[in-house]
Amino acid sequence: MTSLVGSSLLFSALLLAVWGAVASWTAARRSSSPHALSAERAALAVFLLLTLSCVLLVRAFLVHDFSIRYVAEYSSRNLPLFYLISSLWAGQAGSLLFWVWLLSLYTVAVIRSERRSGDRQLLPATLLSLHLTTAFFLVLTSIATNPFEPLSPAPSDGRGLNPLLRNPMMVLHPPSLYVGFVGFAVPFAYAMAALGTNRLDIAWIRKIRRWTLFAWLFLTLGNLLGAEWAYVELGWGGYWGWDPVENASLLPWITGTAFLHSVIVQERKGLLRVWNFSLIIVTFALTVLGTFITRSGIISSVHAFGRSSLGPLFLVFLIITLAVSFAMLFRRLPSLRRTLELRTLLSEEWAILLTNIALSGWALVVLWGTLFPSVSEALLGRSLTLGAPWFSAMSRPFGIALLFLLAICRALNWGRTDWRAFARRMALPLAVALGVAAVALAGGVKHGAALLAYALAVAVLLAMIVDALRIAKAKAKTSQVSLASALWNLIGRQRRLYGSYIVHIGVAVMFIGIVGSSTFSRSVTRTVSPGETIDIGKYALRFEGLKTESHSDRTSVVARVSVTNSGKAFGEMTSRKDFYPNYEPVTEVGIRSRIHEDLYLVLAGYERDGRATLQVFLNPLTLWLWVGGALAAVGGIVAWLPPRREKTQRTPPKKR
Amino acid sequence: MRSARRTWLGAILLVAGAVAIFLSGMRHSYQYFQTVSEFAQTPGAYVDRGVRINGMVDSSSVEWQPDSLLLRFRLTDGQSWIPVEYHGVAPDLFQAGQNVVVEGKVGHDGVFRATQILVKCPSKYEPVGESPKSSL
Repeated sequence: MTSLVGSSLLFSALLLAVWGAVASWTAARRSSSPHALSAERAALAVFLLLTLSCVLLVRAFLVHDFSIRYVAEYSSRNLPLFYLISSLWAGQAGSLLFWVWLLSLYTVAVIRSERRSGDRQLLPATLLSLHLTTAFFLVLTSIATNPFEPLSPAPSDGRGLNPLLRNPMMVLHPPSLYVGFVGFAVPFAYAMAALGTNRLDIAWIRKIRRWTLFAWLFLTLGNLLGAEWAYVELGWGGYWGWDPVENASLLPWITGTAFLHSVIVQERKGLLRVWNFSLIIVTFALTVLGTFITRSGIISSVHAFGRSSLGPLFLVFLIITLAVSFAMLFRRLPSLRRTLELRTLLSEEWAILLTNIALSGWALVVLWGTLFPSVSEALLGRSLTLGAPWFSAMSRPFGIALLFLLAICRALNWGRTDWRAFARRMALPLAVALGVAAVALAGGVKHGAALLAYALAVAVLLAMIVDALRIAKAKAKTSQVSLASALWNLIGRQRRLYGSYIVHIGVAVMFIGIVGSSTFSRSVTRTVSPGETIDIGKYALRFEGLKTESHSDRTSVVARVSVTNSGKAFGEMTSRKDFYPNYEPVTEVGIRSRIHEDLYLVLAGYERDGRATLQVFLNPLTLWLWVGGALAAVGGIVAWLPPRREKTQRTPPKKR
Repeated sequence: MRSARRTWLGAILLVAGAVAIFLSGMRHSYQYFQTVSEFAQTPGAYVDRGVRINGMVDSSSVEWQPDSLLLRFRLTDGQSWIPVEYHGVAPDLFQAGQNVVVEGKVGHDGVFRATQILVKCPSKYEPVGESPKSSL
């Protein structure tokens, strides 16, 4: 019954989305307002139908309706409420439903904000792309992988959620990634609307700024949560393995970041207009590719391609999207071209342009490495792969270039920078960076790239803080208030500028964590009997023995270790293997996070005689990756918040 | 106009340089991705080359020496098999009958020395055993 209702809800939503596309096409072509209204109503109806579908599926999870295949495959009777709800996005069919529901939510939000803004000229054409994308994903969910597919006979209990996914981080990671992925559909739709209706002025750029930032923010959070999940759950001591699935969510983040920066040049100087259109098209295509890769496993197994009907459908959608949008861009090229007026290298627009080149180059490298197995299989008939070391080595120069640009960008002006002023502003960050490098070198850091990265990261930190304070100081002087309150005021008023300071400080802090943990990580693996110790750095880990624990949903084998740090007691750590019914065992690691390093314990295996194979990692500075990430997210939120309204009158939209 | 042309020239040179570095980096980094049978036909061709091989862990062959952290097993695809040695601990999902990818080099003695074992299809989302993995 649920199956029938759910499937028909999805199918009606599909029909409505198709109608919405037809109506918005007509509305955009003939500027017919009845059709425009109909397209808006269709979007609302699709949203309601999809909300009902999601509610229906969640309800099926809550009442353990195992006559739905999806429910039987991803949940069981003993699953806690929290995980029952998150099972919605535990598998392919459900997460595609969730994806398209988010898209319908975004569509409704776009309509609302357009109604408020009063200027609705772009809306019908924007709705056209949104309706078409919705329709495509509804074709997937209602025909190719229906989450409401019945299972007969219904089993008495379900298979349960994969234990690797039973982690709060994993509950939040997919939805925030999806909010980010889907969010880029909005700026893309506006770009298409601008191209389609030949309204190529700055209006669409203004409209999409906060949408893009919102999507970027959630993509950032999603990637960070994914990395942290990998760190605490996968138990190999790291957080990023350059797995195709990880790359898939990194790629749109890179191009989206580039886009956020390059639109500033268009706002300020009216330049890079073709580039901006291309970037948002590519970013949207990468979010679709990302959804596809994470959902189909095409890369990790090329052969999955032929088996799943999803593959060809996604490929067709991608090719059509790219072909149509670049054709539209090509048609408008004559009216978009501007002579590139970049007279001097020492200017903010050049810094942003170079940042864009670095980010795009990095994205190309990651894309190439990710698709290489498939490409070589197609071209050479044999599959070749590139491993994590290749990705890391290739990413290093881009990371350093980006840090360098970040370090100098605040000392640059738009148009032309007097090099003396530039030198004066760079003096302090440069001096301190050199000092840091000298201290690190004296302290025994021999790794050239790491030294450079540290020096640059510190320079970025300093450049940002000094610049933020410089403006605050001037403000404090003119308005006769304390520096702290001037700073607070500025963060409230100039949210865009101060948000960017916070984001960039966060990025520098993240780099410190990434360089430390990826370059200077150490590990020891040994099989020990109870009472034996493993030494790593200043720590000594004494293995106290194994014990077995029984829980309602699992059995665990726990290894206990007591730790001393330079001879002093440092508490106890545990790592365990959990055995859930129907699944392979999973390892839960023990982590002691400190300011300068993480001690990371893995129970890798154990013997019948009570010995255990323990793997101990010492990961320097890893904590700072999460701290920096959190800062970047906070900065993103600050920049995203709408400009504070003045109390007396309606303020026109303010440029920063 | 001339400055625009110069900008383009600069950009093209930059891209060309990047591509050159990129390609030279690739030459040393890529690995062949093979099935056991493909590999077993001409193991000599791969001596001292990085290879990834996809196969199944032969159920009766797994041998683990905890003191020396040595893992030995046979990797098979039903038709041929190759002996694999690995120093270190196997991932959680590693077990007899499991589909895995080994990464490493084959020695002159024909033993494959893995530097990494990846559990094939880290299907975080899909139920293990549901998908027909054996059909390659």
